[in-house]
Amino acid sequence: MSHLIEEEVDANDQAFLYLNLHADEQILFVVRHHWAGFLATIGLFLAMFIFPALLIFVGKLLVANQFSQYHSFLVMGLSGYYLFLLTFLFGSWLDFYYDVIFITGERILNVNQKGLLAREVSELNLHQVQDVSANMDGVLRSYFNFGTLTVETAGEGTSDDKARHGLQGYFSVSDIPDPNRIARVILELHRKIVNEENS
Amino acid sequence: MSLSNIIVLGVYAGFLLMILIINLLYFFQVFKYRLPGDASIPILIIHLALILTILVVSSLYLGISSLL
Repeated sequence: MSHLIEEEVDANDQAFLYLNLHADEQILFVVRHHWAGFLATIGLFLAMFIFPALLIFVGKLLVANQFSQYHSFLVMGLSGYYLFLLTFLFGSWLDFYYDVIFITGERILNVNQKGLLAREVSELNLHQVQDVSANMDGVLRSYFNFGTLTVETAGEGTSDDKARHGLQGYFSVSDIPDPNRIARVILELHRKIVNEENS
Repeated sequence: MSLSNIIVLGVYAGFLLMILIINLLYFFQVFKYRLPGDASIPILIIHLALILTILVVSSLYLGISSLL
């Protein structure tokens, strides 16, 4: 799990420039989606990967004598199909892997990759946090310890849940590794900020 | 070479060009948005190796079979 939640990050690295961090703001956690959240896409890829083999097997049974005439076209079609499939898989992986949550000492920044060359960065101040919850449903999520993290806030938010997308004061991200730990960290940071403000 | 073969080759070349452009955009995306120490570069290398394998094997096969 440690590779999905990074804790030692150099906030001065050029790669973090687009986050527009404040001068003394430190990145405490970088959280990516859990790899098990990508299993459905891999399943689809594998099904599409073996589909032409089944098609060729059935084709050979039905039109065995005409098969050799179209051998070159078949090779071209198959190579085009697998090139498309690999490009689709890599694009899906980038979409999945480049969704990142940065937890700093002041804010939570949610970077949402949206297809090719498009991304959305939404943020929420930790002092606005009102409630944090972690939801793990199903065998896979319980076994691999990942789930949905929901942060309810006093401001605007974004959501992976289509039914509650962009709802006021609602900020949720799916397939988060160890969501209970992340929820606890956010609540601790919130409490620290509130205590500092009060003192 | 018949007209239908030329059309098929033209469509295939156009498709390969489209795949190349999309992969170049992905390449650009990886180098723009990757974070230090993440898995982007190894995965990109594996992806490019697989793409090149398919291209080289299919091209060699088509080239050799047209000579025979």
